Amino acid sequence: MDMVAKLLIYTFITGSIYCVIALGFSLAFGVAEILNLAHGVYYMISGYLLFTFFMTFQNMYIAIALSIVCTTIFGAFSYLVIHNVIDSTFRTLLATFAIGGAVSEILFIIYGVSTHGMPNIIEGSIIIFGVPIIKQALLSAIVALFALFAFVYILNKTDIGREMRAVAQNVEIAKLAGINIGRVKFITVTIAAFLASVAGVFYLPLQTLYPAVWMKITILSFVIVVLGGMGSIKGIVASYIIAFSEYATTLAFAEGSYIKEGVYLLILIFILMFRPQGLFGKHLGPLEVQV
Amino acid sequence: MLDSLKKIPKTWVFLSLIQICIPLVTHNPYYLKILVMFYIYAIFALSWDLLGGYLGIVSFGHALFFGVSAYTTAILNVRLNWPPILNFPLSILCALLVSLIVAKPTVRLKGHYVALVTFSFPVIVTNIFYAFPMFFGQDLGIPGVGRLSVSRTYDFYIAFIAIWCIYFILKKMINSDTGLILRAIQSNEVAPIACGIDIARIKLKMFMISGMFAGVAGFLYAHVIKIVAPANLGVHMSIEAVVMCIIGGAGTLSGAVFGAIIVTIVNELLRMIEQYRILIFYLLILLIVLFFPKGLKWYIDKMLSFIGTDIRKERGTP
Repeated sequence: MDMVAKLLIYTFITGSIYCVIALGFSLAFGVAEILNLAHGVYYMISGYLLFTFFMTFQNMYIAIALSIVCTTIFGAFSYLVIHNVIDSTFRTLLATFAIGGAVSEILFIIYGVSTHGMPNIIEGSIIIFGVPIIKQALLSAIVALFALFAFVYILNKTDIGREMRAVAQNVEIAKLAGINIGRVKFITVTIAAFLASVAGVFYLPLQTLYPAVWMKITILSFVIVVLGGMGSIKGIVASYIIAFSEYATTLAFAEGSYIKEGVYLLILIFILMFRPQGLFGKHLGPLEVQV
Repeated sequence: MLDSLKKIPKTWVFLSLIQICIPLVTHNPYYLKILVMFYIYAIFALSWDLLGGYLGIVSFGHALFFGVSAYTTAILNVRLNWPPILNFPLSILCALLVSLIVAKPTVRLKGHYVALVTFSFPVIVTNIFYAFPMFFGQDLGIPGVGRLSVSRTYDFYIAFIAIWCIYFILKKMINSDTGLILRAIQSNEVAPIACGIDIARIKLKMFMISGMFAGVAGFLYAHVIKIVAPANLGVHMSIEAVVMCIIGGAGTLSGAVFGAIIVTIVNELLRMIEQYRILIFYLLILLIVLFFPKGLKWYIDKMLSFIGTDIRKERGTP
């Protein structure tokens, strides 16, 4: 019983973080049709910036605010770099991957292999349902859910949200309706970077950070998005499924922590073979996904 | 008989003769090794180009076949002391099996999904390698792989024969009906389906061939560099294949080889600033993708045309 409670609560916490990260990726893909392989970079640099700003200013709150702002600016910048090649899937993939690789190398040159020594915002742990949870982890989950609900509100109730939904549904008609597509795509990618950085600044102090982590996060994002259904917001709940599979793998196998990525990638492949629209995606016709 | 001899392109014969004579002119092992590396990369690029340039299946995980073949021969050589000759068919077989496994889900998908699936397979396999460090060696992989042959010169000729054969086979294939079908599939899949062609089977066959050739490259690599590591399967290696082909222009065979030349040269030049090598590499990729969509070679040819050289026929770049 103890084990089950642990599993559920840890899944809930990690899953919520993944929700926010994957949401950004899903947005970029659903609205802007960009498969942003550099998505993990936003998460990663928010952690590195947090470390640097904290070392400089010795104040966690300033560091958090600055990291989020800088990462969001970087997100906007990355969109500006690739906005000409969005039409071609292949070129977008290569360009975003190149951005990711370049940033990763820069971080490696500046910081070396890993960073450590960031204090948490709230120290200590607390026991819920008999399960010890680090307070920082709980805080990040709460912030993540808050960001999630805030974003859903924006998507449904504001003008920009409406524009984003319109562009996601049908770009041509959105153009006819007078929506500035370029602006919407730009804002989408910026929001994606913002969300990833929010997740990053709270959760990364608990993790080991290294310059290659962006790829893992990007892979994670696209697995969640494909599992949930590309372009579907409801599908983000797939993050909990993936978080669960990670913990289950780690517990089930001796080398679990090495193969957990492999396991959810196998899940990805099975999904693409047997249900490519994911859980909540639109049903994809024969000419859209399959031959 | 004389007619068919006339059809052999003169440039080809000329270039082949030059390459055959190189080891007679220089015994510098460094130059020979660079050339062998170039041949290995060229084979790898050609194998990618078959899928990516002609068939339109843009594989972001091609290094998997390369790496699996390299690891197979490395393990057999280091753990069981088998000689390279014996390992060759087994490595190719492993690369073939892996390519079949990758092909199964991939041939039925399009666009983004192909990229994601091909990207995922090497990660899965790398995970498996890390899970069994005793067998596969960890981050540093498996060192101490035996030589390909007794001297650099023999290595050179083996690699040269390999690429010559592969280029020849591919050229024959491209110029035959199969090549037409491949290009038809790339342009619009509905048309060949409507003609009754079984595309899934053709894609599978091309995957196998591509995997086999990548396996040849991997096998040679293991015995020339004498160490294999998880990085050989990794995304960086896969991206190198893609980059080589986009530099040269995706849909041409000589373009792939040209791309391999450029990448080998750039890699060697950048080794002087080893610390920034990979960074500059990625920045160059970014520049090429953003500003030279038709492949560098196309633009170079266009510039040369001002001096009166032939422009290569424009090929579709994905």
